[in-house]
Amino acid sequence: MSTSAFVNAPEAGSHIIAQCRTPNGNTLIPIAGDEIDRLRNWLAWQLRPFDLKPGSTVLQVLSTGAIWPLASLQKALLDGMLLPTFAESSPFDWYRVAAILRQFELAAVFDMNAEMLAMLEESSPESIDLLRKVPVVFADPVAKVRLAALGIAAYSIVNLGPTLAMECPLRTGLHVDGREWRVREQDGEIRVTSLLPRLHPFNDFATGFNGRVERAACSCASPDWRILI
Amino acid sequence: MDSIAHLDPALGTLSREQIYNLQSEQLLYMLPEAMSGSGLVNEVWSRAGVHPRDIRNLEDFYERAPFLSQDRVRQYRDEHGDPCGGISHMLQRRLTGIASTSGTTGNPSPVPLSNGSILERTMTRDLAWCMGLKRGEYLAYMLFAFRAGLVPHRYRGLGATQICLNHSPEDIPLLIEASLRFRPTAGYLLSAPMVWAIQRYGEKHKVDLQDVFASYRGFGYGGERLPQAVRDVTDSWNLRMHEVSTLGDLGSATECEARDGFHGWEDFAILESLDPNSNQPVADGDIGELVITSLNDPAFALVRYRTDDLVRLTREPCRCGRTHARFWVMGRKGDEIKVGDRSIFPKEVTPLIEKHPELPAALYQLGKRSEPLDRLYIKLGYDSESLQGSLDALLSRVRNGLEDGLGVEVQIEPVLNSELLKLGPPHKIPRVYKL
Repeated sequence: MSTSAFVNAPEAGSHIIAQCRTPNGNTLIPIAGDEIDRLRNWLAWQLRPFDLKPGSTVLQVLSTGAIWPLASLQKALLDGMLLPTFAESSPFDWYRVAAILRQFELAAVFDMNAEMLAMLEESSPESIDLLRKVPVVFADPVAKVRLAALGIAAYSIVNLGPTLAMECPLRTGLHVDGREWRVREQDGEIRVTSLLPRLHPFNDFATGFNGRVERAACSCASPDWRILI
Repeated sequence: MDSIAHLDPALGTLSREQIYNLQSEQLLYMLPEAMSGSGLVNEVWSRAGVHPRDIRNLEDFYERAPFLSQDRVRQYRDEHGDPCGGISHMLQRRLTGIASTSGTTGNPSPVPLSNGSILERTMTRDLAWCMGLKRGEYLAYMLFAFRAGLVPHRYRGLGATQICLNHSPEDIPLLIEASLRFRPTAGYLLSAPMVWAIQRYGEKHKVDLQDVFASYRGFGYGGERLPQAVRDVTDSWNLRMHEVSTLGDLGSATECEARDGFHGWEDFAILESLDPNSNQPVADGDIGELVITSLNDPAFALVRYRTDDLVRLTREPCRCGRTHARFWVMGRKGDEIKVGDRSIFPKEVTPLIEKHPELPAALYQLGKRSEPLDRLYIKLGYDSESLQGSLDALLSRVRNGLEDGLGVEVQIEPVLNSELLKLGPPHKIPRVYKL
């Protein structure tokens, strides 16, 4: 294939055609295998301070449409010798989340969302008690607030669209991979620019999240910039 | 998954003798692995007083091997705290995840995932052999993530690229965009609610759905049987649908272009159709319970696993030329409702409901008790906006149609569709509830 053909049709080199979340709805983008692996490597590094015991089972609440970037998270969990089990992020799958909470001694739950949490509260209140026993819970910002009201101190994880941002155990802002992304704020909105080669580059991508950027190194020793949403 | 050696066309047309020899040989390797690595197989076989060394051939296996069941797997999971329910013989660190079944009983069963699993191989074969997906082509992939996790590389060995979409009406615009932009040649899966949603979207937004689906050689349809009304709609799009079922919980099984039964790949698994009471094999084409034994899954040690699916199974070659066993699903054992002496399955009820224009999604549940009932109890889902007259008039028509079609008295409790949809994905709400 000629270079021009590749440039004009980057999807020809793609591993998957995935959805990228944008403030105006999702858009389809080609993703290469090494892009998945770069995010996977960063996430594996981010997960280390949580001391999740190898061999433990973790729950990923996810959807096929969110394969980017959540496939990288799934791979990072496996890198940490954690065993992921899955439930759909759609509220209809509340009964599966409830069943998994009953059946497994989970080390972590990833990506609890507000709609799923509301269904669990309504249809399976005992699941909330079980969720309190899970050592590490990651949630979207809305769910995190509700979980706090329920006495569960969750960590933030956010799908910015092109990538994930997540808190470290110190909870001083959401880390973004500094080798991969330049982060800035404009008019209060977080914007990201890709620094490494991608099939679909992002140039000052407006994430739709309001916040500010913290440029000082985190006390966890990570040099990543953090966003405060 | 890297190897595509299992896509060698010769494997699809093995003779019965070749299948027998292959299964006999693989069984002798699989059983010791399962016995040593799978806690549940070890427990069940030890209690039955049977050891792999007692099995020298398939005949010994059929005569002596004990059975596993979904309930037994769940029991082992709960007793031992084993997330795989004792049915994985792979070291946990080599697993790639634990998926689960649809869980229409409310208690999903674990499905251990690994690279090179029978699940991956059957899905790839179904897409390549039954739906014609080829190297360099695109696949519109809309399978729920709980079923198989997120595996971006699954079809790379085939050389095809997944376009990843949610099985949700919200993703219909993206499905249309992806179909027009990338011109995929296969899709996996659609369901009745999604087909109706696409049809409504097309009508509302004046989309030429024939053009949208022009590039597809086939699209998988899963969750339950394909209703004629849905087939009529997809036929109007010139889209060929292939019904998809499961090979127990081991993998997928799909209709080929002949659309005459689900292909079960006998180089991956032993398929038996047994009388659920006597455990004796039923004649080719008679109704029996599908019992599955995995021959070469890296992680999954399903040995004589009772699927609770009542099927008709045949070993006659298909019109497509492939020789492996095919089966047609009659219904779940647990979904059988006894009204007097009459056995009723949801498969018989669905066509009698969906023929009513106000009830295209045919959402309903059948009431069940352990003892036979005096009538059929139905919770019937409806949508207020779809009513063409009064609700009472609709219920009366539906009841009359059911009584005429089934020959039993029927009692209907109307329920809003939105309430039933809380019970699961639209095409997988539990069909039976306890009275």
